[in-house]
Amino acid sequence: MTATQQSQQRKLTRRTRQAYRERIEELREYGEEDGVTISPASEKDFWAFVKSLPATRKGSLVLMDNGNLRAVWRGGKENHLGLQFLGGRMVEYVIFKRRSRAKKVSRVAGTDTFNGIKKQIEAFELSAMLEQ
Amino acid sequence: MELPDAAHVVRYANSRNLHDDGTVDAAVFRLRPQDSGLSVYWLEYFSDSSKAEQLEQVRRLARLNIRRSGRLVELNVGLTKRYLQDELPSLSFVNRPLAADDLYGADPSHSEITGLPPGNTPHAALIGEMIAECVLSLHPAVTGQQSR
Repeated sequence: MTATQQSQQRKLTRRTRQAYRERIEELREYGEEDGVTISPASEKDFWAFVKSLPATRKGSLVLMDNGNLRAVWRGGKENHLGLQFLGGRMVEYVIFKRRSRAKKVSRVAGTDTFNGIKKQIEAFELSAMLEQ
Repeated sequence: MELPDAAHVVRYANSRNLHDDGTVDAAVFRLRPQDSGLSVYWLEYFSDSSKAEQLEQVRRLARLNIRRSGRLVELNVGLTKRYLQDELPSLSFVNRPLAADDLYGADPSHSEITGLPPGNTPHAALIGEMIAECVLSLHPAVTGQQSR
């Protein structure tokens, strides 16, 4: 990667993180209206996960009734990754993936560690969906 | 009474559960620990009305803390059941009218989505995603005339 490309990637990363900060503040306000507080453990894990990836495309964030943050990345109509940040560096994941030539969409859900979900993302060939 | 496949229902989604792209998150279709079904409102109960009038009736009768930024999320019963039949054959839509009480008038359109897995499980997350894929449209939860 050239110095120019590295500089552009840093800018994109800064922009993505700023967008996340703004969204989390917005969710905090919406949550206050409903009596839902963002779980500090979930928020901490969300940031740890985002920062552990080289350069992530911004996912869409929501705040669940239990106070956990949930991020969703979509790639086309049938590829999908949803992660609820449970705290303790654990995530609840949902993956929808249509592999080329496959008739049906694979759908899996479970809970896993950060390392475990990263392996699943690779196994389902979803890494590109998360990249800038 | 089970709702017919042709029926349409709406469920309230608050702004915390709406995505940037205008879609609704799967969290809207997960059971809370104390619930056995998800409240929805049967639009065709208000027969001989336009869609706009049906939605207005729901807004008037629903016992919800509705926010201006929230949305009413519309599903078709048959389409949703067919889409989930392999993954969740127990899924059904049942009319459960609410009687009038000291605070509220009767709500005959009130219905529930039943047969869902416990809300704190990964299966609930998967089912929620699949139901979210069946959403036909999102309507404003509050109209101009309402002040909530």
